[in-house]
Amino acid sequence: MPAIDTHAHWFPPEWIALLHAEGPANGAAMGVNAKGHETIQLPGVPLVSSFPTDMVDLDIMVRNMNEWHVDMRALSLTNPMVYWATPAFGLKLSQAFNNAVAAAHTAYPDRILGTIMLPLQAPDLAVQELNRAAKLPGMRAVYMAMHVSGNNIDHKPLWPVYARCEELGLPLCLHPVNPLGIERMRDYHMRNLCGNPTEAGIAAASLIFGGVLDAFPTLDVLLPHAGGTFPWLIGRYDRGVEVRKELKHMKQPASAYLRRFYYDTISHHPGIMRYLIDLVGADRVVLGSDYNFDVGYERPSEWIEQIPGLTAHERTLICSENAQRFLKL
Amino acid sequence: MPIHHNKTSRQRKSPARYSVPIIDTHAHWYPQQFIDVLDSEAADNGATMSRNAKGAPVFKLPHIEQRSVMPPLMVDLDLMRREMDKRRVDMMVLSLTNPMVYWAPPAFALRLSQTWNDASTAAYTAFPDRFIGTIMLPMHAPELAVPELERAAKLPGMRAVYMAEAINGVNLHDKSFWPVYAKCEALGLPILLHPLYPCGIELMGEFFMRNLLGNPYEAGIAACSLVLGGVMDAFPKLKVMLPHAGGPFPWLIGRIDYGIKVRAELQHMKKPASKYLRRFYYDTVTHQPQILRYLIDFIGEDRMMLGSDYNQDMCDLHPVDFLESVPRLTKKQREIILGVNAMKLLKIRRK
Repeated sequence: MPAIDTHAHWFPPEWIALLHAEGPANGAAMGVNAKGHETIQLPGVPLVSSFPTDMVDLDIMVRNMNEWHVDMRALSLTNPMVYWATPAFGLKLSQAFNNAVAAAHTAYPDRILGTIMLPLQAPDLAVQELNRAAKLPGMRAVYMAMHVSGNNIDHKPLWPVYARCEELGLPLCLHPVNPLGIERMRDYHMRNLCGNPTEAGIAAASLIFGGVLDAFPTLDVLLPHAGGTFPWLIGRYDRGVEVRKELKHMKQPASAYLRRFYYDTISHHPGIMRYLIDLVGADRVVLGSDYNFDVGYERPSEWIEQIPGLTAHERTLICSENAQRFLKL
Repeated sequence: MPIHHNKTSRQRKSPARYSVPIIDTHAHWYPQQFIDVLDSEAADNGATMSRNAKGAPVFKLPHIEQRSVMPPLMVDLDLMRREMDKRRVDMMVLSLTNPMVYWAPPAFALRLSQTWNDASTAAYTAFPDRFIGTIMLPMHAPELAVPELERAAKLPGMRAVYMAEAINGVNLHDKSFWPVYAKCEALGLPILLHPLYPCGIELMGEFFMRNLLGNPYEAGIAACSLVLGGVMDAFPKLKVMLPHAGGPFPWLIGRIDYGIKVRAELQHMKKPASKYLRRFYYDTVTHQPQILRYLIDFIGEDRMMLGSDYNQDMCDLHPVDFLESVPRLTKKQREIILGVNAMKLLKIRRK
């Protein structure tokens, strides 16, 4: 039973080199932090992203997988992603990541899987790059932020991308970038602790209420951070569907879509993970580590052993079988 | 993955009888006196009052899209008592809701607060077995808020302080609010929190997400702010109620605890955030019996209080029936949630 980590981040050296060479001309401020890691800051974004060695060097990452007992990992970019860039540079950055992750898979075909980064700020370029990248070896999902430069992901210009994902049988792995409400979350790391999981709530609501999941009935979507706030507010969403004119178009309650999503295990609370499994079903939960951020897990397959009452069947589903189904392995 | 809806519970055959008064701790009221003051002075203070097609007052701020509509069912106490009978509610803890008073210049905000507080105590005096008052304060002018708190606390039936989950964009751990917390603690008055114009509106313009997600989110930020910002430590006897069942706060607690372990911004924390879960009270406004069941298991029934969010469209029309639809609750647990906790917290004596 291979342990498959669906939520792990990688900054390919080629991608950083491209940022270094062309980022400044595109408005990014490149720098180096006290630890000697390269950094990037974007205008108007409070978060400085850094590229630590253990998220860049693939050999270190594979050794880490051995240490953490992870058999396979789907690698994705994380902030700053590529939507801040001009369409042409966003495409170039996406191609650099996609080529690098396909090469990583070729180097470690049994260990590394790729997710596809797309310049969603330019949906026509995104579809073009999706068509190209989907043919590269080991590309098993499309990776995207939970809003694209301030547009929620039910935004109509994104629908051709969803249509193509569905045709190609590629699921979506969602991830936060620059959460909303930043003006209230500057203190105490609330931007991450509260803001990131709230992005999953908004993304799920947008996909449900905005009709994306109805229009693309076989599109699979993974919500990070165990779905964030989404599952716990589902009663309120349902009540809204019952009484509000803004939601009159809805043919089913929001809760009917709970099982359209997959959820990773990054809740940091075994008891709450148990509630989530009971609420959405053990067949919708997949391992995640958030490698290698400080708010991530070491040894994600061992973490789940703390979940109260975890059965052998649930363990197999969560560690392995669900991700195999989701990523079509 | 059973998702229960509480529709079936409304077909209840004979209502269970309880030995405690049923107390709705989350219910909104716009006193006529408050409307009158707005009608005569809102315009001079930067807001507008009008009437909708049904003749109900409508309050509007120029920079905020959300309007506050004040229908008769949220104004007339006689109508409200009749509704309470229909909904099996014995007592309501009355509070204002949007627009509250923080939008107003301090002097006018004080006047609005006083108007509310006087009306609220009068409601209690007229119907002491049906209504409990809460205290509204001009929090954006703490030097006015503390004296008004001292005045209003002496009025009959005033059993809690009511406060937004952020004051004009300022989180609740801001030091300017601490004198109010100190006074609340000294007076033994709990704080009932409520959302007002949630943050992040730029991504929540559609599908009523402002309310569906935005309102509960405010409870998460407020709880984090009070815990991580040191308010709960500085005022160890202060009791705080989170509306909308605490919003995402309980469900994100693992992430917040983990943040305390690893982040420099949280090195000042002496305990994990989960140690503060039971410093809060939570209402029952989840609209989902299974999730309320999880919350009761997680926090304990001694921290849960009945709430309906009367009488917004997002309210729980039948809060007692809803609680009865929660799986595997004993009658004793239901009574604790329906009345016992509120009686203790709000010092309500049994008749």
